[in-house]
Amino acid sequence: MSEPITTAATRRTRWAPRLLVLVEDLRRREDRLALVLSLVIGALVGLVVVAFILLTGRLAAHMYPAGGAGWRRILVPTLGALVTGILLVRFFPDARGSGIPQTRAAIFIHDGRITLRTVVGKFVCCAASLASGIALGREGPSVHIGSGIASVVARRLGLSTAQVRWLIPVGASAALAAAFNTPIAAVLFSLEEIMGDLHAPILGSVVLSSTTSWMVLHLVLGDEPLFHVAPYHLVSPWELPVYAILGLVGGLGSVGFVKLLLALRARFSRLPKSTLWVQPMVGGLAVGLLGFVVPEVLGVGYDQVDRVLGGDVVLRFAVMLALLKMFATALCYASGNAGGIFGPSMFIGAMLGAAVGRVAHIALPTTTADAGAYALVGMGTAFAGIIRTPLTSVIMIFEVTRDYTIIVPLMISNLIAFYISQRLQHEPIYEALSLQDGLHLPTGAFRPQAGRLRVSAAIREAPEPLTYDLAVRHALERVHDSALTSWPVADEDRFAGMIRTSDLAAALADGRGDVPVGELLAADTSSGGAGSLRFAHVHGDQPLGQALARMGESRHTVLPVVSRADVRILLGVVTLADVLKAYGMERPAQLPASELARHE
Amino acid sequence: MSEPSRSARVSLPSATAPEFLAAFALILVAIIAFLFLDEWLAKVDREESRAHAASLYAEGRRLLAVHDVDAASDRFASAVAIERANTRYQVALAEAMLAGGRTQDAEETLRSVMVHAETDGAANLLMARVLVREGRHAEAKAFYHRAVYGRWGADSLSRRLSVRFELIALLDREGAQAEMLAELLPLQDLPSDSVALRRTVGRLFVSAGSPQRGADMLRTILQRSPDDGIAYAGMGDAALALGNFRTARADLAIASRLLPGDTVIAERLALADTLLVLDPMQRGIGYQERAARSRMLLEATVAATERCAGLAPMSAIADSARFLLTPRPSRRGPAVDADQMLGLAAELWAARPSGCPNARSIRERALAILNVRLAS
Repeated sequence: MSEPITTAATRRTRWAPRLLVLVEDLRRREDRLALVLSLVIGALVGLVVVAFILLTGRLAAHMYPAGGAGWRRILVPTLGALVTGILLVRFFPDARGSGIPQTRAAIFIHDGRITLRTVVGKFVCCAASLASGIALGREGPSVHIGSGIASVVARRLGLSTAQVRWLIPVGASAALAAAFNTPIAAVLFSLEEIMGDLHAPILGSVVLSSTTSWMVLHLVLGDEPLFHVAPYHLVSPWELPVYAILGLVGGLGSVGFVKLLLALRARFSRLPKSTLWVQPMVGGLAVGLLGFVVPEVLGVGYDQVDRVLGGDVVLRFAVMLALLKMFATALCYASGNAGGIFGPSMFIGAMLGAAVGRVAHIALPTTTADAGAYALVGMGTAFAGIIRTPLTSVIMIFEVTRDYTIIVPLMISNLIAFYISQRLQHEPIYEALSLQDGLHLPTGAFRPQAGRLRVSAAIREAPEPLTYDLAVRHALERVHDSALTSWPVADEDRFAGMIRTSDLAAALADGRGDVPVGELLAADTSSGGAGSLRFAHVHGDQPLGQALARMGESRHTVLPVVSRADVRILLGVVTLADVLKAYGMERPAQLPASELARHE
Repeated sequence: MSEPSRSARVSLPSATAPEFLAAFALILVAIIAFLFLDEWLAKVDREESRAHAASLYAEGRRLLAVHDVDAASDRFASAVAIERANTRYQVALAEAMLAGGRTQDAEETLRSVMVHAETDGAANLLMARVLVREGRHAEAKAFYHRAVYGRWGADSLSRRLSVRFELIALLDREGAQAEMLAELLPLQDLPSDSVALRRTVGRLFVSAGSPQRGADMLRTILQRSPDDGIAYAGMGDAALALGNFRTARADLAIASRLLPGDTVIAERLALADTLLVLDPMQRGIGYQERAARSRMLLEATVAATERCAGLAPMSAIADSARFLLTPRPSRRGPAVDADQMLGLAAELWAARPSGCPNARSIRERALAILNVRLAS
């Protein structure tokens, strides 16, 4: 009997070191580690997101049983929002909202850190909220959950901050591939929206995780597409102007929706913090009341989208649903419910498209396709207008339909909606939401320039800021020796904006020497006014060219360099001379030697 | 993680190798746990969804039975949305659409069903019904055939048979006797205990222009059940079609006795009686009687055709008939005149314009039968 035990022990002593060697090798080779982690994260995220989808679906089915009483449609979303509101305030404060701005914040501000608590919170709160009929989507939360899992896994494995940060989009793409059943669009979305850079060097890992997650989805749920779409095609080239009109309608609708959502959110954010737990209930009650009359408003509404895509369109109903959904989603999101706007955007687009298509088909029955084709294109159009990822939206619709012929009208419609949205609403929605939270995340337009000279190359230490209540006369005494033409102002140790020396001098000449600097700052439109976050500023990772542009716009030759996480934190300043110096065009004559010495 | 070169070696993770391994093992355990959770959730989801779809289907059936077509369509559509691969739900949806007069929608639904279930009997049958409603009989017949030879679940034999009868009924309405006969021939060998079926098939053979086959089939029924009034009526019809008016009268008289309240049989009996009175070819009547009956037949035929519009093209035949009917001494003898009269009557009847109304009264029907028989 002793012999086999000895043999087993010998075997164990042989394979254990081998395994450790293998592990050590894996840890040392980043390419192999990236490969393995992409597969592992893809599989895990795929499984978690599938569980999230199934759980939400089952919960919803139990909350709204067939033939259930009408009062359920009021009570369930109201209570659901109340419960999730309490959970969000008490236990999971970071799980509020969509999840996509939070994911971007994790990459660009928090070194890729998303806690397990946030992941669990997002899963639980969103499952409860979406199942109760809140008019929000599951895709944004899935992205946050996926990114969070990637972050947790990477940190558990003891990876570096940079590695953790790079794994976030890997988790995001896996989540979206499983949530929306569109693996290619998931890759593009991760690069276009999350990273803001289609040329990001993580492409391979993102593709791998997305594919793995998609395979997991198909393994568990089978090859069932999210939407069942009839094979539509362009009936006549004369149809293209109608699709252009759809782009116009979709673009205007998108802008209206985004502005409504942001305005409502701004109102809610002004309410006392003590009401935070009850705010989601406002959204829940509103959607419940709407749902009592029109049940299709409840939930993400993919069933209704599926019907409309099948050509089951009643013009008035489609218009009404588009408007009601815009309001319900905006209110639910603004009031702080957990859920995304990705799915509702699709719903709104489908209804707008169906309405345009129906009108077109009534007017030109022989030259236009069925309203379902327009609903399909409308989905992409609204996505391009609201989320502002035109490439992702085209590929997503292509993946949903698996039909190439609808792509040309889709591209026309998308580009028009994108252009209108860009003209009428400066920031894309996720960026605007981040800005409302005081987070200044890099935009897509910024990323292509990221490889060039950055502000950090020209940053210098900030001078001691003037206090907000300091009189103009004393302020001028303090700054008159300096070569800096603008000076930072702080309000209770928090950065408040830049004041020009010339403005101080002019105020003194006007006999306003005893006026506090803060008052002068508030009157300066280029500073955005006191309390505003929109004063001219730059971030360290922005290109230097942007600093020059900002200087031109604001007429300040000194700009504050502030934190992305909080623009009230002053990290330094950048002057025109410093920028020129960084470009190799020094202007030493303009800075006195004493000033240069002081700052070097 | 950035995509490094193949040989990239970067800073090691802060965890030690055993810690790394332990974390990795934990992740794999999580994957396995979630795999089981997902499988379980998916199973529950499938079962609950199926049950929900089945209840929607049942409710839809109930609503369809009370002719609440829109609500039924809605339930079936919801059931289809849950279980898209379920042909039964899709066919039910198409059925509700057809009941609501949405033939085009029903056709589209069925065409999509047939992409995956080309041989489904119920789908093909419903498609045939949709096409019949749209007046596309030729296409409908093809779908009826596919339904007859298609896939049926339980009780496939009787379902196939009922489809075939539906097709035969369509052919009967169309008057397509040859096609009808082709559909009936495979039914000749029905089991002898299927009395009702054999009775139906026997009568259909008569309608299909094969009265002898019909009579043979009905005779076997009468051998087993001599009091079958319907079989006797069928035998009477077959005899009428064969021109055996006496036999027909006898069979129909028995049928009438066995089924005294049946007005159709009573009417047929009256027809047989009229035929026996009018028939100039009847055996056993004298030449004078034959001549008289021939004259009577020609007179009636002329009168019937005169009632029709568009008599002009056959005015030459009508003139000849009127000339022959003019009382005058005959040089050729009554037998020759009778033959000529019968020939003219048949010719005149055959030349009637297609717009002439069908015979309605028993006498007119008798006239039609006799003229057709004379022509053949």
